[in-house]
Amino acid sequence: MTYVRKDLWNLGETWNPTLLWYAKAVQELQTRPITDPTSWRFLAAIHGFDEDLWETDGYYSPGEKLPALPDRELFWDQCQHRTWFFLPWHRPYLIAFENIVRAAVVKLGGPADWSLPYWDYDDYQERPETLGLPREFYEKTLPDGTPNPLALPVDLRYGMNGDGVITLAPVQLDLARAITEVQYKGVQGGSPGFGGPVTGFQHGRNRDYPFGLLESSPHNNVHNMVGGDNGEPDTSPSYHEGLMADPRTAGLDPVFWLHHANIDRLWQVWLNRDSSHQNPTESDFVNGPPAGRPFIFPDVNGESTFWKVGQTLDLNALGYTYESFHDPVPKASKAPKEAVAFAARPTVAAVKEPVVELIGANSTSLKLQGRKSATQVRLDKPGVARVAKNLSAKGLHAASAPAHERVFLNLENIRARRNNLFLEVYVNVPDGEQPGAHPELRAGGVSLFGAAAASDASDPHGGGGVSASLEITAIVDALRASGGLDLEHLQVSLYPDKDLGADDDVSVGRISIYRQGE
Amino acid sequence: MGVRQTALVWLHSPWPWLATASLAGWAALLAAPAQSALPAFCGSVAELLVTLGWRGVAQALVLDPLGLWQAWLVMLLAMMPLLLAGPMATLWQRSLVRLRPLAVLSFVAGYVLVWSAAGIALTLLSISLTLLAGDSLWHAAALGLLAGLLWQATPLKQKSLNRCHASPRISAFGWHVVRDCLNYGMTKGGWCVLACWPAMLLPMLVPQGHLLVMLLCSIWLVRERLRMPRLARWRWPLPQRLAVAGLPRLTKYLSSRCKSLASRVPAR
Repeated sequence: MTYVRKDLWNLGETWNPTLLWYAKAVQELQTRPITDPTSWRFLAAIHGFDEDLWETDGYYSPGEKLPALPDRELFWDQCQHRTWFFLPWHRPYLIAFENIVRAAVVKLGGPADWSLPYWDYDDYQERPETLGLPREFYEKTLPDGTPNPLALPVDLRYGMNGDGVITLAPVQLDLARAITEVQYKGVQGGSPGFGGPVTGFQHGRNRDYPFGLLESSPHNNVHNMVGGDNGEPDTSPSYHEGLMADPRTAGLDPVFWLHHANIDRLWQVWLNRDSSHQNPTESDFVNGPPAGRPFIFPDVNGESTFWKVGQTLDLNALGYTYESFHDPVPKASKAPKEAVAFAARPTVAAVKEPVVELIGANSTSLKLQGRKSATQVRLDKPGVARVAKNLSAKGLHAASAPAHERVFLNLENIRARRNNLFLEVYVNVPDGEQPGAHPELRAGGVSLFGAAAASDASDPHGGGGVSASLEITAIVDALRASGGLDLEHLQVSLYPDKDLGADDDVSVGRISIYRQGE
Repeated sequence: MGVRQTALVWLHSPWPWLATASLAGWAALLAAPAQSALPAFCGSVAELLVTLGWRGVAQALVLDPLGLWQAWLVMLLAMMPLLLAGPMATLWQRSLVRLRPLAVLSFVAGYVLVWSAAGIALTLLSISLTLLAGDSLWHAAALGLLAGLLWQATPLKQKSLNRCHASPRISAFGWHVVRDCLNYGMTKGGWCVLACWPAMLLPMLVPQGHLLVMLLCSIWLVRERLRMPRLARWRWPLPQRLAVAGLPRLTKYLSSRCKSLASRVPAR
């Protein structure tokens, strides 16, 4: 039997069977003790766990019996982020969760073919309602009068405006960058790839690998837009974020699973989009994760199942599919320009290991303040001259032109006490002008989902923060073509979506420019 | 990815260079002339005591500090390079191509500086433990092992190990490159000393088989460095507990890999 995961907004009237049984199963799982591998909290802790955060949010009581330490270190805190394992770890995690929920649904008298719905927010142009959540996520009770576990109080799901109403911002749902990227795997400094950079088991490793493109947008952005925060400065003891805004609590929100079902679906959408879009075939990937920690999840009886990446790659073999693999990004799309001009076709260098080298960086770390922070990035003349020459040759379609030349702006070691922040990054915005007037100078957007844990030096993460890599090939090429490319400097401006006060603590260790080519 | 491509990727990683450096250290240890301070010091202060007596040790410290430092550096060269793959990759990736050698040299200078200072402290500690142990030199080794295990159990040990993975900002231009990389090397060295000192102390204390103990300690250090960062808390210092607890699951894992995926779908 092939299970079909259905579109959240195509399920029918309020309290359709899919969401009603989901709610009842969540109720059931929430009654189980945290030591039970099939309980709601154990399953959420597989993604991430933090005693203090869970206690604050009411999901853990001090002194409550937890699973034994070896079990916690085997099962909990596994989530893979900023790695090429991001997708193949979350897929079996979702399968394990769905199987356990389905077993609970069946136990309660529900349908044996129950499947997890997915939240297709990237279809907002056709269906604006997909920017929000259906009424089932706001109703206080189920039809039988029992408390509705799908609805959370405002302080656990703030949303973008802090009022508990979820309305996603289209600007943060950009899928084009990810879906048009040819390469699955990323390289540090260069393209982060559709699926993320090459790493080992990556839960809190301290080298600050960048977010993969799909992970960055829409994944990270949706986490933060749903979770949100209470608007306090992040150094305030009363600063608080919603569950979805932190990887250590995200799995506690029932929306998490619908969001990740969509991310899982988008992986297949990317594969379907173009024959050049392929999963890595290297042994390090297929047989991953490498020695160390395994991918381990409970089955419906609480027994352990282990997974290798190679077992997650074929939807048919896994026994489930999605109602639709609709690709919302038109194939003729010219945006983003750089993706089409330089990335959206297979090249020699896309097959070979690319050369990635630093060609510029700013001089000091940058503490973000107010609504704008800017820094000058000094460029290395020989490196930039090489980029300009290669881009020029490409523009002229010269025979000697390299097949592959890309430029990336890196935000390294972004440290913050908050996760809920979205940074718009622009290059060379003229003094006194608003960035919105220059979409052609927009490098991209970065959400800091995961930054709080990654910035805490006392955490196993060690305090390195997070990083992001944004492609600026089109911007640099346009500057070159117009004669406006200063071989010595680029001005990089960061525009947070919140007015950061002196009490907020957000900094970028280094802003650098890399070229990726042959 | 073919074998050739895999080999190329590996060759472009820091591992071959670090392995070569480590092998050079081991070769120097094995080939050092017996009359030099190198084998005695690197292997064992205890052995130095036996062969030269206290006066000999004092003379070595006063008359040939450079020789002892050289011996210490060789010991570091043998044991430490494989722990530096992460920093080397960071330095390589975050530096301008033409400044990469400068960045690496600055880092190594900072790292060696801190470890040299630690060498003095560890030498004094090993002499103290030998004095404390009295007649039997193996007692000193046992004391060193006990101290090491106690340290392994502390939260600070795990914290140090976690911090060893930190990668700081590195400037791209001018003398700031030297400053930042030197600072990186010193910081890394500091956390590394805190995380690794028992593995350096123990070979200095055993009266026999010091090279073998060095090798075992090196393997332990690499294993520890490649392990996942963990919460800093009091822990059982040896790996057995987790291995025993996880054994049934790992056995099941091995057998489960032979089954088809369909067997994972729950009964309906």
